[in-house]
Amino acid sequence: MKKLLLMLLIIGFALSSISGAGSAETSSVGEKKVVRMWTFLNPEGAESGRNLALKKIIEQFEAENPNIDVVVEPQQWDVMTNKFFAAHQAGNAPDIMWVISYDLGTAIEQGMLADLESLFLDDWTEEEVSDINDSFFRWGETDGKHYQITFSRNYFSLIYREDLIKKYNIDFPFKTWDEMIQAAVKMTGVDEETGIMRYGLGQSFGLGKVDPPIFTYDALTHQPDIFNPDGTADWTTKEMENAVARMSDMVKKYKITPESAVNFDIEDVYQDFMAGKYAMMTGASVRIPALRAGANFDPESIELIHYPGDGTADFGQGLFSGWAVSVWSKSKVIDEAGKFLEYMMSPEADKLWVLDGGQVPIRKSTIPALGDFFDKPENEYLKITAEGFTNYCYATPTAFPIPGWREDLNAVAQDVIYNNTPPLEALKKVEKEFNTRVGK
Amino acid sequence: MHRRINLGLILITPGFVFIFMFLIFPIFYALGLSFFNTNYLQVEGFAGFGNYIRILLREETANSIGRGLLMSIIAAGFTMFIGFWLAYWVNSRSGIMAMSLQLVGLVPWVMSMVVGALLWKWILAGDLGLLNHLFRTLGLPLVNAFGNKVSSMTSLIFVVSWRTIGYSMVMLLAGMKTVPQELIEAAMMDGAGILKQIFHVILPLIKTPLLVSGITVLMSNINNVTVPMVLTGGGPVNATNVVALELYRMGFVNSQYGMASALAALVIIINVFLIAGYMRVVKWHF
Repeated sequence: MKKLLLMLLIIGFALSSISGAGSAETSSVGEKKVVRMWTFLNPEGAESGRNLALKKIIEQFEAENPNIDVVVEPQQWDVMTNKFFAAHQAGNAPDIMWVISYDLGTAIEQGMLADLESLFLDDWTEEEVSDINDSFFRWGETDGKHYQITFSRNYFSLIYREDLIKKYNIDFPFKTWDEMIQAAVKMTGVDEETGIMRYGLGQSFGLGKVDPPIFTYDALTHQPDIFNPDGTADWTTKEMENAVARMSDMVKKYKITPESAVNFDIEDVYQDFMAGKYAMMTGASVRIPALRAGANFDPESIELIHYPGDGTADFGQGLFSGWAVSVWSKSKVIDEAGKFLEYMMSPEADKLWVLDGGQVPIRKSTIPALGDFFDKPENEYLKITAEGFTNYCYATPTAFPIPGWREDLNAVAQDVIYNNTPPLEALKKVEKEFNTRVGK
Repeated sequence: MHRRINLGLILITPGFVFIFMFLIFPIFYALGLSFFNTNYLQVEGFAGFGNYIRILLREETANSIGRGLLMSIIAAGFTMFIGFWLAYWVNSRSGIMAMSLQLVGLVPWVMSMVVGALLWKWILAGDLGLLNHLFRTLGLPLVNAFGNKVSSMTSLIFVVSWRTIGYSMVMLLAGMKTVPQELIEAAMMDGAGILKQIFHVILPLIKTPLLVSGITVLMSNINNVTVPMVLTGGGPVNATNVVALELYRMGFVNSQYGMASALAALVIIINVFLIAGYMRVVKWHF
């Protein structure tokens, strides 16, 4: 009995010291409160624009709120939200979470996020709310309540090298996909200066780190959505079939993308673009500052443009994405977490996100406040991004879960390019898999 | 005697608690979860063997297990073969080269798998990789290491083997150091050449470290998700989608935690067989 008691005591002590170590960060230490945040950014890491902006914001916030420490726990962006779901179940989620856009609806539905009205929005004036009230703010709005502020607002479209567009005397911007393909054909060849085989269009279809494949945007030019209102995939349409066929032609017929793209992931394409392997690439607007920083050609020549359309509209559809930054509903320091989230989009912080982070502002008032910053030629991409958000942007639904849809569509690209599977057959296969997965 | 038991208990308790929390509890949690329907990680009702049936009916489950075993066995075989010859060479020498090889050989085993896999990806990848730069300089035809199914799997096996060769070399070297020199000399006196010395003297005497390191390497390969994820992403067209990666995707990409737990249970069974083999080899009969 004595031995058993001793053993239980030891186990209890060890367990309490382990769990105590974990929870110490979320609870108060004396008067000081610690707010944990999961994000893919690392304020102590490489000096990229967004890391620097976040670092300055935290420093300023902590200086103004000496009783609160903000601790960033950097995460891998592609698994961060899944880890959040797991941590929520385990009761040890971070106080502030950057939720990937595709999973926002599920996070709200499962009660993981605190509504911002109860945290700070109810104290705001109408004028203040109107300053941030746009489609991003309303994204995920449920029963009149808001659960997130969208940071790192991202626009997936076409990144290109302006120097090559001028060199090859190409009509620009492209109105149709065929115009874009012909331009890419002209820019494909061995680069005279570097000796590198340059391709007109960089794309990736690998399943490592994935973005939606290019045919998604081509199809969205012709059909309003790629999901049905009941949450099923709408991928076996004529529009999708044609778009997949055109994507396949880009690789096999026009050879503007290397066949090895079947196993590239998007990070490979960014790396190779900086090395000069591509004249254009499908990519994200938020990556432009980093691409410019790493390019081994004139960095100012890297620009952004909308995807082409079908000739009837000015441009086609890009994809809206962003990180829904939210407060965990079960946080023990929920008020402090709300306070920091509010600070992250304060007028001062918003300017830092723009000036240091190269981001599109959250507040409408930031644009006039920054004077002629947006008119500088090097910031043209920010204007294109803002224009894309307003006019040429598809947002994935939040009313139902859509896990793995990007991987599914990239698998279609692989199947068609590598196995010569007919586009409709490949689309049918993954549509069935997706619908089974989401229980439809 | 009582004091010794109490001290023993105190000393093993922290380790036991850690093992329980981070190994034993998660295994049983995953086993439990495999019998439930899940919406992300939210449990939504008892599924019985539903997840297992769904897993077994999926063509990709059997394919990924087959690929995982194939990759693991070939890579482990390659590792043991090269590891053995390196150990044999090191054992027969005592200079700085032999010492350096022991030190350098262990680096891939102890370095971060992500870093190692990324380095190889940059070396092997596309026309901008270091390998093709070298080939171009030498006027040789370029290779497409990840562009087709066979080359992707070959690259994966190569990198997985590279990671474990140093480990097997050190294990086998430790075994060879215990082989009495007089036995080798007696064999030589009887006219045995190098191959006969190896097959009739050395290999029988290092059977235990050979099997222990072989099984350890095999288990490490089967459960390795990092290298395939970073190096090939499972492609092209699932050609390198080994079971560990399929499990990861099912859970962390598709958020099918119930099914992923069922697949994990199948992987545990494979591991249990290997662990049983391991325990038998180290003479712990049960």
